[in-house]
Amino acid sequence: MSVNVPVIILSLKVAFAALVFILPIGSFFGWLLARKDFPGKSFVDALINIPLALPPVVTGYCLLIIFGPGSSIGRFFDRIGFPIAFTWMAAVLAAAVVSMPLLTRAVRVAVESVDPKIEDAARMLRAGEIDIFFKITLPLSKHGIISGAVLSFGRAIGEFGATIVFAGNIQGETQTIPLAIFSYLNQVDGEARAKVLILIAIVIAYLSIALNEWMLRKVRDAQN
Amino acid sequence: MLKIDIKRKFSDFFLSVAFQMKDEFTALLGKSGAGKTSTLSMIAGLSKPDSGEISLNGEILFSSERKICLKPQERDIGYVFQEARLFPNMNCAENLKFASSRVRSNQQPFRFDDIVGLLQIEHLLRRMPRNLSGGEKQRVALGRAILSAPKLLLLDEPLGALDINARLVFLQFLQETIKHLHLPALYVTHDIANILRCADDIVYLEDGAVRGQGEPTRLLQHIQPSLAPVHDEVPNVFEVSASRRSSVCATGKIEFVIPQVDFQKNESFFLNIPASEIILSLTKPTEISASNILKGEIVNIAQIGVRFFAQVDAGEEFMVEILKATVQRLSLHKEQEVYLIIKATSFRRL
Repeated sequence: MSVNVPVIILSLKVAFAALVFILPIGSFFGWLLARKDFPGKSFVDALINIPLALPPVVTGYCLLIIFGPGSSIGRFFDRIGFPIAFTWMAAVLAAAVVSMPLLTRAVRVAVESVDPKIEDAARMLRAGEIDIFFKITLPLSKHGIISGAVLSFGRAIGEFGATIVFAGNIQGETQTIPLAIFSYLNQVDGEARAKVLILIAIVIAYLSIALNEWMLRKVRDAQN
Repeated sequence: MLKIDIKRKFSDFFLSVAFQMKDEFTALLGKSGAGKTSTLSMIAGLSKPDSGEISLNGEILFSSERKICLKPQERDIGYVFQEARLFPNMNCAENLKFASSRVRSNQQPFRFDDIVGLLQIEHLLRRMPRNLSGGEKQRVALGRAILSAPKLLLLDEPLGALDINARLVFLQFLQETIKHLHLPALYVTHDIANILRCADDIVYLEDGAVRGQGEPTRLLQHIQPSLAPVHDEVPNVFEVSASRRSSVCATGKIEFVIPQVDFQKNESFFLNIPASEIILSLTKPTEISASNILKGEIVNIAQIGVRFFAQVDAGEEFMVEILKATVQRLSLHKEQEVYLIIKATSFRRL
């Protein structure tokens, strides 16, 4: 029984890169939705969360329309030597878009759990908004944010539909664990190799959920 | 000097407040819902008036006409909230340093160690806020507000969440600290008893408007009738019901003998006995004309300003005003058994 190590490494690399990509953006939007009222807030909220409800294949197709070789954005990246569609960056982008709602929602809930009155107290002590975020809001909501990040990482590892449409199923380039499982299951003698990856996928998913639960417990403990 | 003249319409309430405050300890007094906290919040910059102007020592903090609205961070105002609001992720020293580190050293009139010493919080510095009592939290919050080098200190019912012992201790610290540092303070409260002892000036707010301003005793005589609903905050106020026996009324825990002409059968009312009219004795007096002799225990002895008070649990809690010399002469101390002597005619019906 052989383990396809490069596929596992690529999956972890893609999921990790997607997490690094969405962590600042998702945190910002989570904070924005939790703390600020502005025109079009519902629209922004819906736009961030729509990949949760959309079939991932549709998300992948939309990404292909926006960043594919037929679009002006895609052509721009082609010209500067960084094509996106059907590269590992496309796999990262697909995983990021699909997993960002989970992170944004977790950050939003975590920030909402921090009493805004505590932030007002910091304002009265001459602290600016960025200062307040990093010294007060972020430390007080960190368990919730980490919990969301872990869940997003797990979702990114499992991403299939958007990736296969936008990044393709290129061995050694965009073939992550779910795509490799799909390929093996379509081969006559691939079931044994698929089973190993299935087992690994289950372990990663279980660890993500367990870590997420542990972090949520810490949030509840901190609140009590 | 703080000058304020603001208006703000809330969904069910209209606030229109105008007063001036000199560099002294001013109390903003009024019933719940009078608009005290809203006023403080707008002075601090945490909420915005619809119109008007707020200035501090000549600097405009808010002006609807000139379209000026300084952020809370730019107003040089310290704020002590009712619930302390210490940062739960920092220990007390870090909470205090959060304030002091954001003030340039050449603009910091207060030394960290001096404030810590003045408020007697050295032993709390390494502790997390969740491990402090209500009174300790408020002392740290007061220190933190002072270390932000404010030109004005706002105090929003800082005694509200404290028990009676902690209230007296904190009030003592507050008074001494403000006096020692010459820091102007605007103190929001509906607690008449405490404010009478420490405020230089009172602004009285009712239904969102200033109804009076002046020296405490004079102003309180003027506004006293309208303060009836907050009598539970005045010491030695008891809600009593007339007993079937003549001249006797009861709180449910203890009975008082008062002149019968003061009440009718089955009537419920409030009685007040001024703290200065209760006599404290170490032995039970036997041949004495006073009708009310109550056995109790000293819970606390506190100095408030230049006055001394013994807090006595005699079924109900009583505040008894005593002289400093009396404390020494009778060696009064906590948990000491005492007798309270009150003449029937000393009670005042409210």
